[in-house]
Amino acid sequence: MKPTIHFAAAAALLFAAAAPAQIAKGSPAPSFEIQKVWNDGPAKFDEFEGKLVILDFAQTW
Amino acid sequence: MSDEDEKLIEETFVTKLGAKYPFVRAKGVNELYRIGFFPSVYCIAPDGTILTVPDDRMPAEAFIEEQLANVSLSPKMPEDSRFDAVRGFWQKKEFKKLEDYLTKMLAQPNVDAELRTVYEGQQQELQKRATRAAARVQSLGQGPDFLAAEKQLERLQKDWVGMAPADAAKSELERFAKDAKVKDEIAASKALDKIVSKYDAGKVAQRRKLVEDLEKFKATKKYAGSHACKQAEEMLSKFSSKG
Repeated sequence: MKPTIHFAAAAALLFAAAAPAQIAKGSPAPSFEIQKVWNDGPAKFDEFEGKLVILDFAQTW
Repeated sequence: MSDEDEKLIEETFVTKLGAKYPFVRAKGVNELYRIGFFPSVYCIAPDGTILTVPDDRMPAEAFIEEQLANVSLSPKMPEDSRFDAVRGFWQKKEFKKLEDYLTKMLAQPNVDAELRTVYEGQQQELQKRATRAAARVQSLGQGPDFLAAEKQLERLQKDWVGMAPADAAKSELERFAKDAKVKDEIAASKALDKIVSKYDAGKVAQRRKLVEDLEKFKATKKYAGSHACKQAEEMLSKFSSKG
């Protein structure tokens, strides 16, 4: 077996252990309070209802 | 979306990157959605349920288009003013009024064929959405996040007042209020929400305090085994990997 495969498998296992379990598909999306909005976004979580919503989580660091 | 400082978000995403799409700041949202890496994408269906998770990466355009076909707050109908009332009911989510209005209009003698087709189409759409709402009530009733379920059931009860989904939501909420286990789950989730909303996890010093409070929460006997306790454990696991 190639060492690279060992490394990839080990990295995947480490990542799986560290990452929190994601919210299950089909379960209700948790609602949250919106503090600030740019570019005409929603003011309240309720405004998502009836719409297809893509939540893209970004971080500056 | 981001949970970071307003100024930082504005400088980075709005000014430098020139984001033209809606951007929101919501404190504690990374923990709430159990974000383990950036960027992470969740896709939420029109009925409020999770459609795709970060492991699926960004949904393909074809997938989004396919899903968009099912979206419309006010279903398609001719744009003329004869249908303003129907459009208004959809927009205000006055489903019972819409149901009564459509029944009344269709009961009139000699209804124009075009009007009949539109009204019947609207009735079918309303029925479809009521069925979807009732299914959602059932799914919410199963938990495990009973606090989120409670909030959504209250909204469904309000939106569908006078119709079957509201009755089903009411009955689930009554069950929640009587069921000691559900009440414990809700109390635990509220306590966890209170902790998470107190701190800004994007700041190191506050994150440390949050970790301390989460550890205390986890060790609290009355929260043992709850869904909130599992959420707290997941958050702690994320923070320990992040440092």
